[in-house]
Amino acid sequence: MELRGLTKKFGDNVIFDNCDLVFEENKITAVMGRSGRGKTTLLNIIAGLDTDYSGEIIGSSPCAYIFQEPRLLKGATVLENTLIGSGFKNREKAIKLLEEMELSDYINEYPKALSGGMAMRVSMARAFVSGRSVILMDEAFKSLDKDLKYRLYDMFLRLWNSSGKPTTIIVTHDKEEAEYLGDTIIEL
Amino acid sequence: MIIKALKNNKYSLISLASVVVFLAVWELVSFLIGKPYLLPRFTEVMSEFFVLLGKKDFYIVTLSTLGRVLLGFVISLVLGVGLGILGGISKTVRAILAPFISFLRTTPTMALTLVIMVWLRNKYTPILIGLIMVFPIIYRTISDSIINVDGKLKEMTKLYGISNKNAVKFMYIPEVVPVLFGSLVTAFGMNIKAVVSAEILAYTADSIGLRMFIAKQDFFGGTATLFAWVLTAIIISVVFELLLGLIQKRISKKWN
Repeated sequence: MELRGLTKKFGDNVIFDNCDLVFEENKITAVMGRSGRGKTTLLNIIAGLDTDYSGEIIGSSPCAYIFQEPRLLKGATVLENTLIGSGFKNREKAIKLLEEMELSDYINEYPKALSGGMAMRVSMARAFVSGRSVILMDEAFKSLDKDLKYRLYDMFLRLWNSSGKPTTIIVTHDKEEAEYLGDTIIEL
Repeated sequence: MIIKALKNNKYSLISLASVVVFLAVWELVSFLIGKPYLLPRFTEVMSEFFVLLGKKDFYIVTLSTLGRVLLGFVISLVLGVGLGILGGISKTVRAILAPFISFLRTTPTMALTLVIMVWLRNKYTPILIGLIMVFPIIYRTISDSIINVDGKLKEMTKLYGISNKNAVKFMYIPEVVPVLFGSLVTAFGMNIKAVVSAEILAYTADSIGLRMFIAKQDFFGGTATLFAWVLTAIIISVVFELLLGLIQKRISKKWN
């Protein structure tokens, strides 16, 4: 996937000025950079959530997105929240993913019963069950402690490998995370 | 069940204690004044209340008023939810309704009652007044809570292409319904106050309001009866507020 001539402004503040970026297919690209450099904006543009930019995205397809916050719907159970990713199809796959994420005991629970780490795992399961060929991840592990982070990194990589290695762009402040997960690192 | 609830909630006990203290003060002040037509003793009001309970007329009157209260409440619930959803979705609908909602919220109830009495038969006036009191509350609650649904959740549902039906089921209902029941608790109390006031002004037959008015006319003997009817209205209000509060708690507990 490629971004050509990307220009994005917030008022007078230029975030991207005629910028070209290439993301390798079936690889994980870690995008690093200080706050305010447009990391989340970049993901939102790729996801189609931000359309106020100029430039061209080549080879884009519908994306799954693991947001900074789990963004679970409190009226849906863990399984239903996961199935949102696949338009309520692939129920068996969703259950299998939740089992792999060690959440099988929580399938029929509502999000209020989950810890922060569990909720993030549901958000990851939702992204992987979607079967989309691009996954975006925006500092999803930021607020978790180190041990849990590494457990989730490993879960993420396991799912990523077993899901056909979708083209993945992760945004992070954390150099260790970028090196652990990323095949390529881009500095903004 | 009530005793168990009280045991579990020390603040309920404090509320109960404050009522007991209030009744004791009432009893004492009434005793000191010694003029039952100004302030009857609480025990006298209770005995009058039990006399009313023994009369068939009490049930006809109470059920008639309750019927008006509930009819106005249900109609305003249907209208408020329907228009509230439209107002929550469409800025245009919100703009069209804004001046009317403002008018209904700010015009004195008594003035509205007098105007409506010109147009409607006396038995319908209280229903419409109750409706007018409750409708803006429900409308605002629904439209505001739809507008205030977290934009990040809406973004997520848009990204994954969730259907409108599932967005309503999993996102909007869990956000809106607990808030709605919270406002219904307040709205019901306001509804019963408005209906009874309108019944007094409109001389509505078979109504708590008219019975209060008749009791008030009997200056030396009717004050305890007047208080007993007030107590009846309070009991109806408290019972329904407790019921709605219980439903709200159950619903909130499921998701929050």
